[in-house]
Amino acid sequence: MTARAADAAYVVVGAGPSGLGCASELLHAGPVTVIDRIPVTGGTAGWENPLIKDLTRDVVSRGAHFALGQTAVRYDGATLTVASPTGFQPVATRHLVFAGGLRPGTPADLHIDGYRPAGVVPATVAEHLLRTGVQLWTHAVILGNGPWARPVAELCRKLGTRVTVVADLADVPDWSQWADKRIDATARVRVAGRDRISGVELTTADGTTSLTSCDALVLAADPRPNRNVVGALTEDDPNVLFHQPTQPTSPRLRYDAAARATRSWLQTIGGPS
Amino acid sequence: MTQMNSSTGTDRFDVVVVGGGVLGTSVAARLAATSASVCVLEAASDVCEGASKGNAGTACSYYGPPGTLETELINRSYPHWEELCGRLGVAYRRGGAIMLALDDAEAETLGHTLAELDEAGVRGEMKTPAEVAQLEPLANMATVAGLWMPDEGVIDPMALTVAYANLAVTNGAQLRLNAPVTTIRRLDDGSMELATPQGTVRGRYVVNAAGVRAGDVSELAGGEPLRSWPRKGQYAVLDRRFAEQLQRTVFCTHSPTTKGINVVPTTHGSALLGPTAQDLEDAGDTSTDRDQVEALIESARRLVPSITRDVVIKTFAANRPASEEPHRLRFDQTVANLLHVTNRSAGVSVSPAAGAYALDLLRDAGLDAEDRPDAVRALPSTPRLRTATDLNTLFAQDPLYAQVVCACESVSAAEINRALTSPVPACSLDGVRKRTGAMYGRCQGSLCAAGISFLTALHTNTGPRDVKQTAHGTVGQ
Repeated sequence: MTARAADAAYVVVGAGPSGLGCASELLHAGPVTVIDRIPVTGGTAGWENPLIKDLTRDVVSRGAHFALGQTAVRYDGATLTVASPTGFQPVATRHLVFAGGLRPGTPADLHIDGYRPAGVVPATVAEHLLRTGVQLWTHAVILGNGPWARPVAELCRKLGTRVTVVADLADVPDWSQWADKRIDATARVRVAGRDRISGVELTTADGTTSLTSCDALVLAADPRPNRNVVGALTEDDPNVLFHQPTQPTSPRLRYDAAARATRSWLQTIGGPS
Repeated sequence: MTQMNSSTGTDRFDVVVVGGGVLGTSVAARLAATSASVCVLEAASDVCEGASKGNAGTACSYYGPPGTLETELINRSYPHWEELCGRLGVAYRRGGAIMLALDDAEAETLGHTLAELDEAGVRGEMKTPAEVAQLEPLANMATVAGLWMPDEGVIDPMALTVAYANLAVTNGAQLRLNAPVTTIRRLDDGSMELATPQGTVRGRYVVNAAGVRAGDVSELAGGEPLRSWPRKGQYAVLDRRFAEQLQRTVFCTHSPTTKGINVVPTTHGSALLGPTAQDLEDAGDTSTDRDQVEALIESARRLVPSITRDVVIKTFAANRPASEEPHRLRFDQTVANLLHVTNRSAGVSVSPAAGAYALDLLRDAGLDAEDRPDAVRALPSTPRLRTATDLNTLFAQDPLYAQVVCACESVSAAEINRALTSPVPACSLDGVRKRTGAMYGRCQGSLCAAGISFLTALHTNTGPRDVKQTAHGTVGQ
């Protein structure tokens, strides 16, 4: 399934549920190439997910071309530069659909104060590191209720790490199934500790501050679109579609939403080419 | 030849440099090109861990009035940045700076600044608001006047410091990391013995380039009290999607007490706002706070009004050494073979000439240091994927260039591997960032830091828990 990326009327970056939904709809309009950094389809839904397998088979049978394990690097409006183990390759396309998924908010996005010690880790990174099966921490504070919060908490607890989640009850109604403790989200968050993190100071809107000792802060708040193809970062080119919604979260619904968004985008740019 | 970290017994050197910042490494690089033997002691696990990594990355043509050694060293340094950075493979751009006057009082101050520039022999020219807008379309339209300084530049100060260190080590200098000096003993023969957790070294001369901690080192050596204190600067980094439009460095008019908040395009394509100025007792306080950051952004918006909070991708703080004696490149008044090399904010800008000047002082004091014709002058360059135009040539050089690790900043596995295997290799994720710019972009490593920690663990013989995230702390507990 992995091959050199082919020139196509439409190129989709991202082979998760959204990217597959976009591709499925675009196939009605013209040839489609789908690119993903990792060598399988499925994105965060996982390649072993039966739904992903079905959806992938469907778009493959309808002629979609896949270039997996390859990274879209730059786009100039006519050519997408793609990096792969065999080199850099120009892919001619007039239409780019970017379905590159979400990332957690950074300390700057979240206006986090204090120090920048070791042990403050984006949830996406924590998930990868914890999958090595090594216990990294004794007590992790997970900030926010993004889609990574629960999987990271479960990996932590499996390895013997205590988990405190900082999120409002309404946002994590099932928290007790996967965390040891919950603290309401606060107006301000400050990281304490110089070489390694020693705790998190949480300050409420009325000015009450409490310190929670911990040896890791996992950033899982405020999911936002991840954008990193140079030349395709802002929504000023009508021939570039960004489809990176924070909702819905289930793979099936994400696929459907992507197909709908692609359909209406195709109408705005003048339908099938 | 090169011996890093652990060592036992006492090793003797002609010169021991305390401090692996931009000044210490510059002095070491210059000395290493001579017959003198050199050892650098750095308290942290990497070079460039103090003010040298936390600054705006300006390579000045002007910083203060003429008649000071600082101005003299800047004048000797700035004409040569292209040549030096070409040799060392460090990003530098002479983009020029415009200093804005937003009212008549500031315009008057600019007039004085221009007079200083003229006296120092530095190029500067007063510009009308229309000319300012042409030079930098993003600059505030409501300016009264602008002072154009075409020889102001921007540099990658972390790459510069690492390059000085690489050059020093390549030419035989010894670098001991994790080696804070705990005691200094003056011996009967006049030399000094410095104890560190990485062994004891003896030097006929000691260069005190310890930055904010220079006073401590002088005290250990029995030297004069150096009154200096940490001045904290907070900074904000702007996303390249905004910052790449910025053509010039935009300075505010200096006030008698501060040089104020500036907007500086970086060699990475981002921009830096800062620094704030807050005098501290505690040199280890590098915390940021929201109120200062908001005020910083507001000040920057006076210069470039289109800056918004949502293009800020990172904030940080660093401490620079403040002192009544802002520039100190001289021997101690009581300990004859203790050479102080410290500077306030302009350490990067004076660093090339400071190395040569320090060598002159040491020679005058009796150091036998002949220039070695066989000394290496240039470092192997590492092309950057982000700025490369001919990608196929890059791939032919090293296929790992096509393995893009940090997508936001277009940093490849080839560049990261070189950072992890250079003469002074990265030993932490932050060390990789300092050398390559990886994880410096808008997602701050959300997508690539796991991969980079695996690569770093591989090269440092650690694992996911013990790999260093910063020079001071590990990912796991």
